[in-house]
Amino acid sequence: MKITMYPVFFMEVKKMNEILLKVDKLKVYFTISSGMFIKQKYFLKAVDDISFNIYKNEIFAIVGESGSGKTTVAKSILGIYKVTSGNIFLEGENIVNFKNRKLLARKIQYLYQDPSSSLDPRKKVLDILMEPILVHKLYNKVDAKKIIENYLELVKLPPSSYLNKYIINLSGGEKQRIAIVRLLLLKPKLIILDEPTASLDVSVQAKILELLLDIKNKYDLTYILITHDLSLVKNLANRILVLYLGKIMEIAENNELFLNPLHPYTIMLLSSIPVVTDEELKYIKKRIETIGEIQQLTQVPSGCVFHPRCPYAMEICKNEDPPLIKINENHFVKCHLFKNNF
Amino acid sequence: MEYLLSIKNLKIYFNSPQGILKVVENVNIDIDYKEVVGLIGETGCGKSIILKSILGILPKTTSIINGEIIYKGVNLLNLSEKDFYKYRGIEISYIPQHPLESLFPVFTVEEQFRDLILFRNVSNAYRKYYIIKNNKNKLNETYKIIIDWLKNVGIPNVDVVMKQYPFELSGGLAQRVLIAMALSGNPSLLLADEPTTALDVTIQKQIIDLLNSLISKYNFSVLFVTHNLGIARMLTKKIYIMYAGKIVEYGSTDEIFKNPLHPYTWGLLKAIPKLTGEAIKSIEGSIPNYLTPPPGCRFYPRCPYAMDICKIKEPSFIKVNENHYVSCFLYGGEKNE
Repeated sequence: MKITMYPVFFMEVKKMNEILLKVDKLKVYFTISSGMFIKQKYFLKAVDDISFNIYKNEIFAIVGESGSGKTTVAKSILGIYKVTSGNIFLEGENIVNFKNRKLLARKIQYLYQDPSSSLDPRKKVLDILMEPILVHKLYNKVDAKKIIENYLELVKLPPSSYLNKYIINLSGGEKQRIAIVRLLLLKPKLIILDEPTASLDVSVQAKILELLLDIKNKYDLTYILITHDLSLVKNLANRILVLYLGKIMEIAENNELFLNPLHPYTIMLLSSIPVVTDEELKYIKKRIETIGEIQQLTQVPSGCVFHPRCPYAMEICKNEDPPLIKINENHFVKCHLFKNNF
Repeated sequence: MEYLLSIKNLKIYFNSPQGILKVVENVNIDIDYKEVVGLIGETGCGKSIILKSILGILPKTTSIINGEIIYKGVNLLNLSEKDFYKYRGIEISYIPQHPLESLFPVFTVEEQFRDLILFRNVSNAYRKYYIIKNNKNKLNETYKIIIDWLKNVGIPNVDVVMKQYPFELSGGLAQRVLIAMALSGNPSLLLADEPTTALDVTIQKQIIDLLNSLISKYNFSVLFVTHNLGIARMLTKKIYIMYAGKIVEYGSTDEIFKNPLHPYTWGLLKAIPKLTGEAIKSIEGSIPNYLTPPPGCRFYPRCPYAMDICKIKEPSFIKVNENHYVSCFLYGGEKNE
């Protein structure tokens, strides 16, 4: 097979419906200055040259350890972090360093990891939910209450008993539902889910996931799922992006990635999942011993960023950053191992 | 046969302005020598409270503890605070859940580790502080011990890590330091309170592998508290499943995963996302209020198989086989009573 090196944004070859979000060569660098008298400036490359597409109505998962830049990608899409270079197109419109945050907020919303810290504990449910409506001047107050009640019924919280409750009196699952209603009020097109179930109990997690899927079908939403739980990704996502130290390691469709993982880092992540049944073990064909820890972003290794932890590291990996190699239409991997094989 | 630790009919209640919270009710746990036991349950089911009662660090003013915690023939609940010094950190030690929050941020790893070794079994340490601190021989001795232990837990560049402050460490490294600290007293029993929850999957795997190798090397018993069934499966030999302050099922790990019997265990297993892509199902309802817990079986309001008897009577443990016990009327509990 001949070698083909495509940047990821050519992935629209795929027949999937139209592109909602297109991230093109995104770089997010933070400057750090050190030294007391002579200031030295250096860059912390949180996200380094990332391109991908998100199609309408899909669940796109971004997977990686903490410190790999998952949240930075998400927050730069939202416009919270300043983008160093690159473009982000939402339905064809460039939203990089977008001035009108208010307008952007109605298209993209963010579900935070821990609802107990993203909702003000001293406010009542009604006040929390009224806030986005007032800020964006969506409805008048009488309509607003009715609409809020409808949404509360949708997430299975009876409005009569919840509207006047304080956030502090709610359980984790209930808080997460309130957070979901708060996003839905603005009718966004894209929702970024940052570890939506990490802070919840096992028995509640499944319910929140069911709810998120229901809402997605009902309102025609697109999700970006940020997580390090690969079993969750297997259950939800259509396509998966594996990030390590701000760089794409592998990007593939769900089945493709789990049945045929190529990058050593993906295999390492897969082999560290604690499984519950023996059947699941069949899905982990190759195993790599997990060694080392993710580096500090201030000391990014040369060449391939993963080489210090990689059991297959070669001489070339230390010096040269591998290109993104196309395996097939839906599968790209950034590793020197596959240059010769394909 | 005598166990290393056996908890008998443990009841822990708390006084609160609203009334008495019946948090832990009639818990029996047996841990054998060199045995790794898992205690599994959701948040708020009383797992951590049991660990704290073993260590004797529950607030004495608000908690009412009944029952027996027998460790090597001694009832820990009857011990005075002075006698407890011989157990805490030496016989029984503890790995906390949040590694970075559990190390003291203003002392380097070496300083806090050294103080731990020097003052571990010294009661009223403040009087002897300068005498011990100025003993050069002892300091050199502890220095070697620290280096040995940090190497044992697989820390790569020990010299650098020793001089670092906890906030400079990553979560994985901090957890390794804490494991080294916990094991430095050569305990017979290690209590681990969800030691991997705050860590990444890859680091989590490494810590579990490390614990596994340390257990076979130093032959201590472990009581491993977690809500992650996958981790329990990797590490433990015996599992206790706890719901709302009561043990509902226990047995060997293989048995429980092959043949789970209690409806709550089924629920837990179904609620975990799996690699096979099997649909996940949640357990309806939420954990009961501890002020007025349901009489009878505490799980019946959420149980899809609940019968009339579940609301009135508390099921007793039914022996399924040598290694498997379950507390549920589905398996004919009413006939026994």
